[in-house]
Amino acid sequence: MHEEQPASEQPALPGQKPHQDIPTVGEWIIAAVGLVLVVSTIGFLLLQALRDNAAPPHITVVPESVDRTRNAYLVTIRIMNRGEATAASSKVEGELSNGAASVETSAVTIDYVPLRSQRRAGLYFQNDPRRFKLRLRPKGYRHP
Amino acid sequence: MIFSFPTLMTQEMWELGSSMSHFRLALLLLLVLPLLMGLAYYMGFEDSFIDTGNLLHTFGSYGIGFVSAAIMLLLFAVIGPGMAVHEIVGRIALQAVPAAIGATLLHNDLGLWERHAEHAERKRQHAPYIGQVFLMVVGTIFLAISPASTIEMVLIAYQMTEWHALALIFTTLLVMHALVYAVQFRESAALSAATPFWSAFLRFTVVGYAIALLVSAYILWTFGRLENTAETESIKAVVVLGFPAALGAAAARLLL
Repeated sequence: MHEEQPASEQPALPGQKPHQDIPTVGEWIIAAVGLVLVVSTIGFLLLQALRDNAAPPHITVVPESVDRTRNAYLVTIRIMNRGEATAASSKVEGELSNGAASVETSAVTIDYVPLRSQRRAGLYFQNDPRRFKLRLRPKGYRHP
Repeated sequence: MIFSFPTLMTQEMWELGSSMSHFRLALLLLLVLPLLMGLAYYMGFEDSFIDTGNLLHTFGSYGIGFVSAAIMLLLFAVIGPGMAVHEIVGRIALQAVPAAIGATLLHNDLGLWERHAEHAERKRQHAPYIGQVFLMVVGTIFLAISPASTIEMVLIAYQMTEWHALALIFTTLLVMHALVYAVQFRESAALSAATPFWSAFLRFTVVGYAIALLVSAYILWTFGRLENTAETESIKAVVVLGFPAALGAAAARLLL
């Protein structure tokens, strides 16, 4: 295919096209790096897509620390999703109990816990959690 | 300011200004400097990349960005007395980034430097390849920073399956390549009808998309959107933000 320079398309410009038309080695290196990045992104997603990941969210909650604040006790918690789906609006409840009797409950809702990821949150209690048995449990979630 | 209204009026941008990592915000403000310098150069103020004039215009734009962001945020009652100093500073500083890029672009668009305008246009047209790549970076950041602040980027990623993400990648590449052709052919010296398809595709579309993905990842990281999140979800979020970012890269010559 042989082409003519369409001079009418850019009347305001001096026609200096040809001299820049041969790509340099540097250009090819940048292009190669770009290609590797794009192809590896596609490859990674393809690998993930081909795995069987129909498993629902699997939420677990663990306490991290207990702190005394001015007018309450704060239990910081970590919410982990070990499942293969993202959980939205997952509610977590913490309960302080003394033997069979429930002393106090507290709850928090986490907007999103993505699959195989974790989020941090905190629960406030009026009673000292260290003096009772603390139980943390996920109550439910919504499909995003 | 014309360019930065969407970000000024986005709630997530205010909240991020208050709550994001101070270190990452400082890093962003620093990295924007060479970006503004390059942009000032290609927008035609001066002939040298590092000289007094160019530096003057760079910091001028940055200053305008800060002041205009502060004024608008005050008017919108987004900042005011009673707020913590670090919150006010954070909110203004984050808005100053798109505002400064906008200020640099506006100088050019309104032809405030009329006598330089034609010269600048030629500089951009005959920019070396690395210059073209640089303009792609600017276009990417400019289009990606506002959507990146919103929760929707990660939300969309959560909703998508990997197949959706793969389809989005191919759609993005397709749209990009069409744009690259439409824009570069008409306006740039770097491509001509003789350039084979794969050459243009590799050197502009693929490189542009790689830049879009890198910039998206950087901005999402800066905004703390990838914290404690699995690689799959992070990469999906990067691909989602990569869509507007890639359009910014491909259309950089139109936008800037």
